Amino acid sequence: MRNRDWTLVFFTSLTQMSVGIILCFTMSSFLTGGSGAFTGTGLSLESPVVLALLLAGAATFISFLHLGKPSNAPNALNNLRGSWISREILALGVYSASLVAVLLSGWRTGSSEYGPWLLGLGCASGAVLVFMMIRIYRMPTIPAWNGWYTCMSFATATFSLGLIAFLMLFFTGLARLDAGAVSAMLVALILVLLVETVSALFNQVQLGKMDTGFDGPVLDGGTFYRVFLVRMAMLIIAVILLFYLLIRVDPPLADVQYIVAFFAFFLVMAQELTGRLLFYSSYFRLGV
Amino acid sequence: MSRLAFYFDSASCSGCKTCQMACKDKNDLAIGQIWRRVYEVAGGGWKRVGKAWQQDIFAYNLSMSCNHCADPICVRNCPTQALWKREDGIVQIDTGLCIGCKYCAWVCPYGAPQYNPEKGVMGKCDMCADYIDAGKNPSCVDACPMRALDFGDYDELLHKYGTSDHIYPLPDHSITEPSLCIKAHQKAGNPNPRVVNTEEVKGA
Repeated sequence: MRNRDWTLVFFTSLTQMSVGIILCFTMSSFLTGGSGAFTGTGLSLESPVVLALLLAGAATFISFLHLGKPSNAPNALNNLRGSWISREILALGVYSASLVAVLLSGWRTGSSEYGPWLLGLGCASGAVLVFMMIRIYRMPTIPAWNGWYTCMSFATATFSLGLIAFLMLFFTGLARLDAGAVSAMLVALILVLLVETVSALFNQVQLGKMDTGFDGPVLDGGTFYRVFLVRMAMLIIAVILLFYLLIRVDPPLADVQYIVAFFAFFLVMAQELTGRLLFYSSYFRLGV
Repeated sequence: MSRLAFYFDSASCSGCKTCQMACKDKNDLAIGQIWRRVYEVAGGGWKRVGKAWQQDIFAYNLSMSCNHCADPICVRNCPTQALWKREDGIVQIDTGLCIGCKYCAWVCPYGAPQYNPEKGVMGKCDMCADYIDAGKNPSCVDACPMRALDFGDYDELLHKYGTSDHIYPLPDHSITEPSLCIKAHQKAGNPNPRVVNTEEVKGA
């Protein structure tokens, strides 16, 4: 496999996990009537908003490692009229600022009258951020990226990574969720992973039929195909383990359930990173 | 706005790569940086006609650099506006603005912007803009011993040579509208062409 760009693999994955956490947090707050299922408030590390902000910060730091000349980074906002990268960076700034505002507005009590509005702004800017990321890769000269799969894989990754981070908070004891909420999240995660499995299979069939040119990667065999098969295996095993957790989620949880949960979460994280690595490795362009 | 363009005669090019070396020399390019590259294309094979075997083997060369497109996808998408277009159509790069994100190299279908790891920024053919401003030709044009390269206003080149064919391995010109006229080799349309010097042009 060529064109492995690990900094972009981690930048996109961490950003999408951060946005996914905020989307899941907002949806769960909305569904529970804002009763606050979490023990963490304000600037506590147990707060999902803090976790999302830390992930966004880590992603921003990693994005600098991708640049050849990080000292020129402020110039990246110069072309908001034409460049999706400029717009993505602006969206990342608005998203991060809205999370900081959520935390500052309720840092003593964990909530404020402006909190839901600021969280809504975080959700909206996060969704816009993921959309900008998708648009960056939808280029007419890059056939492997200029299709439905870029949109599908980025959207599903946002939700699967957000859900997995949310559930990790629960299984590590940092968050307090009732069994119904955990079951709902497990069902949602299983559905997202099934969509990822089917869409990845269809995409692989399409990639295999593409003419990658005289200097392009081999997409229907070799290392790329073997890594794809490993990803599929991880996805299927993760779905089976999550099914097991779904039928055994009632408290008190036994040690075996924790072990299964952490292994399933590891597999979900690993398959997302592998999927993103495959995405970048499928790069080839039209022409010379 | 005028539109300066290159002309390339694929039928005359011998593949000597003097243009490639003149470009490297003029721009003091490091190993791995090849702003003008010569692609060696070959194809064809043997087929049986009656009791005889006949071959339709062909080969031609394609000298390629930045085509200073009318609708440059690199300029459109550069987040820093380091890539910009002069009044005469030359696409230039301001390395003082470039962040080295390499996005222009991803999207350009002609492999024109190339990353310079020593400087951490992109570099590309600027049509020897300093030479042009001084009333001279680009170095590759003057270096070509076969006179297979020329440059000038796009419309004038079309009038002079009467062709804008885009041959393998070039992409559909409607994507970026390259400022490039090509006189195609007589066998450029033959089936199953492939680039045979991939090691030489790889990574560009």
